[in-house]
Amino acid sequence: MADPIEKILRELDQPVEPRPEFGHRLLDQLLDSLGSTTSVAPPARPRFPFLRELVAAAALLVFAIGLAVAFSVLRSSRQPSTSPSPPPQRPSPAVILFSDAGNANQVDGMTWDGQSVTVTRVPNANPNPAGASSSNPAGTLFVDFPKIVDRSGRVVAELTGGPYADSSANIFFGTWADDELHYCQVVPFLARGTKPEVGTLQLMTPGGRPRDVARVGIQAPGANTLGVTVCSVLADRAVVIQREQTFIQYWVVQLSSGRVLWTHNRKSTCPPPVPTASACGITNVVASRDGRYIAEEIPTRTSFIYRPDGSKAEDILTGPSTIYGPDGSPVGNVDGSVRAFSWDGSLAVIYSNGGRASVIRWANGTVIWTAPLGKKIWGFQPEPGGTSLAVLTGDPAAGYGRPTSPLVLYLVSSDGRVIGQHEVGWSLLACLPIACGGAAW
Amino acid sequence: MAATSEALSGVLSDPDAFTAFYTQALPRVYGYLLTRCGGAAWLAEDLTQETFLAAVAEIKRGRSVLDPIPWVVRIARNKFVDHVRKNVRDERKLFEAWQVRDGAVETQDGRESALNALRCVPLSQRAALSLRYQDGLSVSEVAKALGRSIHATESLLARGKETFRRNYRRDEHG
Repeated sequence: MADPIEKILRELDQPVEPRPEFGHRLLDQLLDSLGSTTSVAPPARPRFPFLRELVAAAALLVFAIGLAVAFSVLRSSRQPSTSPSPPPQRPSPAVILFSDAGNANQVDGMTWDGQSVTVTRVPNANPNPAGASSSNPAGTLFVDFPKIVDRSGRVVAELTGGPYADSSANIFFGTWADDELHYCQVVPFLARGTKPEVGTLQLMTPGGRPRDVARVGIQAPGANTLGVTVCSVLADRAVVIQREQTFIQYWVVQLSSGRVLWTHNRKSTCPPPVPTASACGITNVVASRDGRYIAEEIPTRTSFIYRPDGSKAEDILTGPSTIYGPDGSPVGNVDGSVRAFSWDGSLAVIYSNGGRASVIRWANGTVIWTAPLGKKIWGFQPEPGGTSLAVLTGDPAAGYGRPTSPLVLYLVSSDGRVIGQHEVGWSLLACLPIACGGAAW
Repeated sequence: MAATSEALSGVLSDPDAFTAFYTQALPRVYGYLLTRCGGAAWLAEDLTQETFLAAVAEIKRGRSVLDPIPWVVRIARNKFVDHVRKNVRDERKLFEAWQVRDGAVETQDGRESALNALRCVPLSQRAALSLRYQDGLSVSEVAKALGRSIHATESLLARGKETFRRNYRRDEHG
């Protein structure tokens, strides 16, 4: 009689439909690949009898040299990586998604070469006035709560069940990963009981089943103080942050093992009760997209954004920032408030202590671009896999509410050139959380 | 309609025929890989993508295929074996990474329990079990695919079955 385990294993194979988004995208890619086929003509007789052999030998030599160079580059640049999967191929160009300046239900896009495109129209059935929100870094997917849709508006997944079963959960709590497919979240979003609840960091794909990665932080009953600020499948890291009135703690967590690589807990410099976090010297924390660099800022002084006529438009708290490297040790200092990093972490968007927003190369302090005088930063987005930054600027008089004057999106290259600019209605969909309307994460 | 060799031979000029083949083959390939990847959808997707890209490359070379679905599943098997051979050194890390953690197991039915149990079997053992009992390869063929000796493969199979049995029982009994 056959071993029952063998029988169980034999019966396990069944067809399984993958996520529709994956299936559609792969089919597009395959059809593109098939379409790129050139007609195969019978090989012409060579004019010189040994030309083909010579060409083949030369090609072999070039290939061998290329292989050797690639191998040596790989050997010299390879870092220990625990990334659980190779970077997926991006099927279409990355696009910066934003709401249309004239129509809040229209999502527009700008490719990273500065060309604008119309993306899709989001039906006006959404109770959220901002409509579309939270795109992945490449802008291939975004949230039209409670749905995750692709650029054509096709529904990829519904945000139902789990934490979204709670009717009060009417926004997307996920933080998209840099592989464009996954997102991280911490559950519970809100500690519902009468006791504090430990948060669980999860990794999942739209419509997929979450995988528990690690347990981090404790939320007080009724509180929503835990969140994910960075989710990097490519670098195998996530950064979970807990913002309380009296302290800020963050954990750099290895996604593959759930291990906390390092953590910092920064307490308020003021005695409780604390009026507001930033006013009381609690550290602002900003992480690069891969969690390898983290800037901590202690706001120590009030700076001003000045209008071109010299009048004060808005006061902001700024302070020196310390940047910590992959193992948690300090690797640099910035005389200003770091608000975002470029994709590779080499550039930072900062408010200098004079209140002017700029993009700098933080390792040596070189300023490569400065925002127009009198403009406040409303959002940023790093170019996926590249070095450019999208910086959303606007009139500070708009305050923290919805802006009354148009915002302008600048596409800044790593050498400080403005590659493109575009008027934006309200939101930058892949906006880094620290700057998005003062959101917590 | 079953995909036929005629349908496959026409794909270069006819995207519709390719789409019909793909529609049939995708759940087979993805399901095949998902089981062997221990339910790790991200990995199954990666390998599925590699499988179909390899298939398209073969089609573009003008390869004649009589039975396209088993053919593409064989490509999937090769991709999985390649993955195992490349990643077996990191096996422990991957195993730790994607195993179901405490409290995350939701036993739904026997198949789900079996999948959960298989997920907890280390990669090299899981590969040996899958090739031997799901793909029906002989022990010597499994050994060749995995680059092991027959003796080592038999050991992998025995340990794999034991790990599977232990996890399957635990899952079944909560």
